Amino acid sequence: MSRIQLTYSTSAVLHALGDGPRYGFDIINATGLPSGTIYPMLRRLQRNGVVTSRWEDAADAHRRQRPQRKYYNLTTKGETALADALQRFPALASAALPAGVPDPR
Amino acid sequence: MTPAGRPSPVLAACVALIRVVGRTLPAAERADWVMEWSAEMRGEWLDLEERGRLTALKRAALVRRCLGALVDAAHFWIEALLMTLFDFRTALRAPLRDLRTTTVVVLTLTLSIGANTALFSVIYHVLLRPLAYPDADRLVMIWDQPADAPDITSIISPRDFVDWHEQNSSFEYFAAFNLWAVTFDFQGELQRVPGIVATGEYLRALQVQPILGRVFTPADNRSGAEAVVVISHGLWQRQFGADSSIVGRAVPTAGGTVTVIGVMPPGFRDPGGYFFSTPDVWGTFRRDFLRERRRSHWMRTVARIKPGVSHEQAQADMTAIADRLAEAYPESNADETAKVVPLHDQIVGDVRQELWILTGAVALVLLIACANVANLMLSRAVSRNQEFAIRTALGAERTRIVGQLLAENVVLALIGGAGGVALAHWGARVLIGLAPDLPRAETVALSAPVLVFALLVTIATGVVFGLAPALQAGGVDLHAALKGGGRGSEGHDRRQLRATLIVGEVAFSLLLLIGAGLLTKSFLELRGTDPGFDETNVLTLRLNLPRSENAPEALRTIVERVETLPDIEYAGAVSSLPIHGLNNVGLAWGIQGLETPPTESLSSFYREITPDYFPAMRITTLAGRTISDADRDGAPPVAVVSDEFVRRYMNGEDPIGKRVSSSFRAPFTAEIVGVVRGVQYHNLETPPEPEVYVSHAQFHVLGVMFLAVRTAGDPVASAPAIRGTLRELYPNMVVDEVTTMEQLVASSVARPRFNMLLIGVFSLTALVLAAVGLYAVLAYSVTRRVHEVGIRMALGASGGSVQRMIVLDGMKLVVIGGVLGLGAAFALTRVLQSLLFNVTVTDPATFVTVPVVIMAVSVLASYLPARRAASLDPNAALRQE
Repeated sequence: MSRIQLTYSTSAVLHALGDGPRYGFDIINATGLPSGTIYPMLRRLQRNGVVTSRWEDAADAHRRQRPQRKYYNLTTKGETALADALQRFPALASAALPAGVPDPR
Repeated sequence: MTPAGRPSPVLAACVALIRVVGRTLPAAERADWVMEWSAEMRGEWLDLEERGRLTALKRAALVRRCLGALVDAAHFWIEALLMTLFDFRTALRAPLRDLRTTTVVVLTLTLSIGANTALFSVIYHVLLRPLAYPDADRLVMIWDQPADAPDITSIISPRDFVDWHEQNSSFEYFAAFNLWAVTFDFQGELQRVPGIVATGEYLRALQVQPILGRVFTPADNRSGAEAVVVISHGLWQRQFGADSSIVGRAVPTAGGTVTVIGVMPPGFRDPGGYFFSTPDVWGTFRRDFLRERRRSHWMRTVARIKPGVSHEQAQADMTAIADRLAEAYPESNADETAKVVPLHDQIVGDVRQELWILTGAVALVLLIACANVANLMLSRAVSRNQEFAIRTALGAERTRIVGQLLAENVVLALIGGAGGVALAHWGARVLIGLAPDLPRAETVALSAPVLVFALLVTIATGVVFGLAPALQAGGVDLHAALKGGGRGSEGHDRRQLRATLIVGEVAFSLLLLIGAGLLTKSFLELRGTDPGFDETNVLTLRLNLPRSENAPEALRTIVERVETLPDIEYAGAVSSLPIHGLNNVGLAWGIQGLETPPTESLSSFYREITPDYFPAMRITTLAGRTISDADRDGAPPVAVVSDEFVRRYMNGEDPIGKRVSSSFRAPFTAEIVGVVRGVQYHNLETPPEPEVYVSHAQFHVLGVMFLAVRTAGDPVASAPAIRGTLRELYPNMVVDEVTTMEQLVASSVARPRFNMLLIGVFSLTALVLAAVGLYAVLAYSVTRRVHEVGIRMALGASGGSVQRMIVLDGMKLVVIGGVLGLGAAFALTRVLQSLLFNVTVTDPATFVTVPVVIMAVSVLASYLPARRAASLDPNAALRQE
């Protein structure tokens, strides 16, 4: 397994996912990073096994009267990476993040 | 949703953008990507809207966020680009791994693309490109045409020209022209410069501007007008030192002076130059055409159709005028009409068919080359099956493997194409060198359209020969390929494809070889004809006898002096040289003294000669005597006739002592004193026609005579001495066109030789390619069937029977291809009809010999792999799995 490059942006994304699963725009809202950065990064993190993703249940989305969301979640490897990231950028830990919208399941 | 339930147009645009961008992504990612992006956009938008927080600021932020999808997609695009580059790198490296196949492929492609490009450069510049005049498609030539012979066009009479010119309403300019020459006096040295004499509108009709001075106006053509000329850029540079004050200068000639009024631009070619030798000077007739006879035909015309008038309208106009003239002057114009021919057709029409036939031939060679290369690539693809199987197993998409193989083939084709262009650069010049009388040959070059053609052919070639193997590789059976280790996994389809390719190659080669065989046989027939004279060791010179001298006296002196030179056997003069074409004067004759006198006038050619002409040309005397020194002015007039004249007109009676009479400038009668063999005066294809030879000392109407000198050794070596003698005798006499009879004869068969050589080269290339292809396919099949052969031999099959089996495998394909090729040849060789001399398009000898040659070559090509199979050690073969 390849080590990921812990840039500040990556660390911020990992930190945002630390509270639990979030969908793409939620991560953007949480980190303030541009969408053109977030999505490619999420794909790279998935390829490296740091993050997993899954589509929410269609019925759930329908019940809530909104389009289906794709949620991203940290893997065990992701938890380790987040720990590294917080060590590297301690300021992140104290930064207040808007609360993630909880995964309905 | 907006409160009214309609989706916001901004949101709709964002979602549409996401969908469009999604289309550019790899298929595997597309659906998920589009769904996520559009769901997020819509979700966020609707959420904010619902909560009443979708401010203008938020809306702008969301649109910006949506544009991030482009940045996101760009990551995919860059990845795809990197992958393609990687494929190309692999494509560049793959050929290096199998250098032998690569070399064969590249050489095959270089040859075939080179040949195609070279021929296309000729086709394009000779046939396809418009003539170098403004609006050249409006330029036409107008000819006399016998009403009952629509294939024949002939030169026109000046009286008809005057009527055509006055009565037509279709032409902006309408000019007549004829062959001309000016004998300039360049600082005391007389030089005959070829030219065109024309009416005042001639150069105007072409609408090419002179670089200095002006072109003619109709006033310059009036009878009695000052003698003015326009000169070519070349003459201006060579003889007038590019002096720009030349315009208006009176330049001395042998018969007075002419005033130069203009200089044409470099590279200018006028229509006359395509009929006669390239002119360096243009002049005007300055005579009253109304004083000419309506029956004397000697002019050619060129005209420019008015804008807005169609070619058909112009033709209808001319037909109506010709009909009126036929009614008004029935004795001269009764059966004549006028034919309008586009100038471009007129100039290239002659060679069009030949060039297209050659194109067909060279395209067949390219197809054969493609088939061969495809076969080689198939073999290579088979040995790479394992590589592809592994890559497929590792997740490479099928399209990507097909793409990579195509990329490989296009790279090979591009290398071959680059070589081909280099070859074509040289090949086009060789082609033109072989075809000396090709019109517009001077314009042939590797121009942009030719290069585009080469590129298109190259890419098409790469795709055509690469597609079959690539598609096959794309469909590789993973399981079989991995298990078989790349060997022995060739399916039925692929064997079928190879077999089809070989059958096609054999059929095309046979077709080409039959064409080549017919042309070769025709050429040999042509060269084998006895022209009635012996062309070896004869030097010929054209003498423009000075008007001031007594012509017979001058000629006698010349012949006597030349015959005293060393190495000279005979020197004789004649008014028209065989093959040359000039002064071929046909006259109407009467014969007196026959028991059954002819009822109508007889036509025969008229030639003035000096006594030693017959021995100089080795024309055999069949009866009586030839002309001697005694047949001079004052002695009874004599004539010698040809055997063809006797055969046609003498009704089996003895010609000697009969009298022939005719009129050329003045009526005359002469007694036949001898008969000589007929001579092919026109070309080697036209049989001898009736001839009457008269003594130049008794009849001398023609001012130009040819001196024919038979030498003991190389005639060219004697040329300087002969010219020196002539200069010494008559310094004012222009002597030109110094050549040998051998050269004249060779140039008369240059076109057939050109066709034969090209088709010959193409067909031999095809044969070699087909043989190599057959060999490669069988050799490959032997490699693949080692195991099977081992079993057969272990079960008792002899080496001989294995050998037979392999050869028969090959011959099956050859026979099928041969039958198809023969069928095609029977159907297609008729296009060669007009190019063949004394050979039918289904010449049995050719149709038998060629298949035999193909069979022999094929047996050889199959024998080599067969021998290898027969020499296999069964034990070793069986162990090889």
